[in-house]
Amino acid sequence: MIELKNISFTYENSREGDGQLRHVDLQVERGELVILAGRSGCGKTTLTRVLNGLCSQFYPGELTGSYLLDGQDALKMPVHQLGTMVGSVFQDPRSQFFTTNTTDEIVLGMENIPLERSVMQQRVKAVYSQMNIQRLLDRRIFPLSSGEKQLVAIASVCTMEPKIILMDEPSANLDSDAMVRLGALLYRLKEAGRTILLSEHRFHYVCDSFDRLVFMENGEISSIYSRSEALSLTEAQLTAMGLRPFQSPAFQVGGAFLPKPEDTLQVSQISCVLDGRQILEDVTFSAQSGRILAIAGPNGAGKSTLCRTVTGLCRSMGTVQINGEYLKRKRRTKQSFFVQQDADYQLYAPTVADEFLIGKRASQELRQAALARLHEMGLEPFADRHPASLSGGQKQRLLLALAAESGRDLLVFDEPTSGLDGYNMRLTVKLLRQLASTGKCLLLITHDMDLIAQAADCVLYLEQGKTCYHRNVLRDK
Amino acid sequence: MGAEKRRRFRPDPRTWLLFCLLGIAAILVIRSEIGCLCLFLACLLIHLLAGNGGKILPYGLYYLIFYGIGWLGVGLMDSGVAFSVSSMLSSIGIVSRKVLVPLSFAVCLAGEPTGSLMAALQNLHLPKAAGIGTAVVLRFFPTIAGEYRAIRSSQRFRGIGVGVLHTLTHLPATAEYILIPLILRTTKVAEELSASMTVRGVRFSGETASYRSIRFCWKDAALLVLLLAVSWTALFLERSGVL
Repeated sequence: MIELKNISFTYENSREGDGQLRHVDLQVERGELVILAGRSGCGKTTLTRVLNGLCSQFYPGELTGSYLLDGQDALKMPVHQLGTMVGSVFQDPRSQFFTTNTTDEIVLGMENIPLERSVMQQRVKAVYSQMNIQRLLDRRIFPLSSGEKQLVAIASVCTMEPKIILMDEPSANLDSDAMVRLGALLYRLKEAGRTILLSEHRFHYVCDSFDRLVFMENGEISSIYSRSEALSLTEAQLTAMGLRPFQSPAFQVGGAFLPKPEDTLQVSQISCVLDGRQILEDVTFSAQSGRILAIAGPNGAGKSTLCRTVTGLCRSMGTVQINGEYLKRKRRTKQSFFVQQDADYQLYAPTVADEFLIGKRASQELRQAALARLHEMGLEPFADRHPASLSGGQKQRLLLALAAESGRDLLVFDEPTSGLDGYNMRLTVKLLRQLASTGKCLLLITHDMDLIAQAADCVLYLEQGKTCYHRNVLRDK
Repeated sequence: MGAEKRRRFRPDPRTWLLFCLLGIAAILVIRSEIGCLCLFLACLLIHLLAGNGGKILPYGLYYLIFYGIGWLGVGLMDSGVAFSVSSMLSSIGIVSRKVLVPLSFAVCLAGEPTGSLMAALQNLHLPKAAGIGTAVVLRFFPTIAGEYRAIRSSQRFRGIGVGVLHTLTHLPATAEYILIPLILRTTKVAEELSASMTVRGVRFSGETASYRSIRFCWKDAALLVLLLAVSWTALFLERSGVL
């Protein structure tokens, strides 16, 4: 089905070794589900871009080697023609939408093939039902959560019924149920003869259906494991490779969380209506200093809105106390630090070190403190680099450092490990635990079970804007 | 059961487009106060008949506010306040309440699903590039607004542009801190959006089919005739010296 021989690609104007492919040889048979794994920046995304024709037809660069698709020379096919055979789901669900309506987005590929209207209707119905996303029918895309947008992007590709499906971290924003459903969908697609290539850091949901694992390092395929070989890799081996574990993390939640009057954060009866929809209904919880509270729940449950409310970004009914004091919105913003999901719009200074001086009077002490914090986070070598030039994991660590240096007691992180490989995820966990140990109260909005298992002390689970439970995390000793 | 529910009338996207064009032409040629008022009332009636009754009150309020601003500007001219201020206010008042007519139709056009809009433009035999361009514009305005809001909310935690006074006293730095991430983000979104469109076969040439069926019915025609009749009558009376 896919035959790559000695494929190398170098982006135009790229630095040496940056996101390049070197001498990639890979054969994928019809109906195979192959995982592309490796640390961030190892070349997985570039490989998927070669497969869907974006490299070098959209992203300019030097491409050498041969790529046969069903026996045809894919390097000579125009990208739109290749697009009908190779469906692609991109990493960031927020930036891949052309339309403003979910149904229009889902049918976009089919309209451009083009297919008969009746066929489109049948496929839309089937995909909505298979993915259980009827609630997303004919909705405006912008107010949807990242996870819901990701489901729309996946549905859009599935309706095109391409022979090959490429997915770049499709689970990064999905809740556990949606991930299980995605796993089942991929299994069905594989059984139907579709070839699937999955560039992914989390493997739980395809653990039972993948055929091979392709491990990449520095733009090269360093090893290819069969399913049984991959599953027999030990935890130490996976850690050394910078990968996450195959199995779901072993932890349970249990025992009701008992609020105490001295808790750092006390949130009472928060209700919020946005765009005529009730997002939160009577949510009450508290969080303690020195502990990490994970806020989990299905996509669109109101987790981000809750944290925006707590930090004063969003109007709501109900009360919020920080350190025993009832605070209005503006004061909540001053006493908390909210690290949102996308790092790009949270970094402003010309250098990494200057980020610590924003909004403050620059002094030698402040600069020393900034360098010390960067050293602690392993970012000192990048102190004079522009923040935009850092990798995703490095930006996340920089934001952690800024949060730590802010001196606020309440720190909130929205999906801090989304899109991070095993190495960066473990590093983030370590840094979050360090922050908590300094007496900070941490809230994490997350779907990442590995993160909850390794970092959280308790879990607040929301469903349809209501508190489902608030319990402690019980770990296997 | 046998009986089908009667679907609420929803004008065809082409109707909104024609309303927009007709509205622009009308406000350019109708100059009298009464003529403009008649045009605005016809616009409100069309919104009511098209099922947008909820928009009548806000548009009516906007009209009154702009009327007030214009009236204030004219009043200030007589009281000897600087001509530049009074003429600016009167111009804002006059132009804004005229623009309300085509703008209210443009808002309805922008609210149409992208698929319907593209199908409408395709049925009008406009080049596909026009549809793609319109869809991208409609997609990008909310994106930029969303990114801007996200940047501003993140900046509050960093002590940037907190409050009007702080923003004004640190205007160059605040503008820089907004513009740089905004440009970085929109460039990234534009690039990824183009890539996503490219692999899904969206291109300026090539045949496409439309998922959404659109239909121009007699009600659309009647609404267009209504606006045309009101505009023509107002223009005729104005030219005859009645208005």
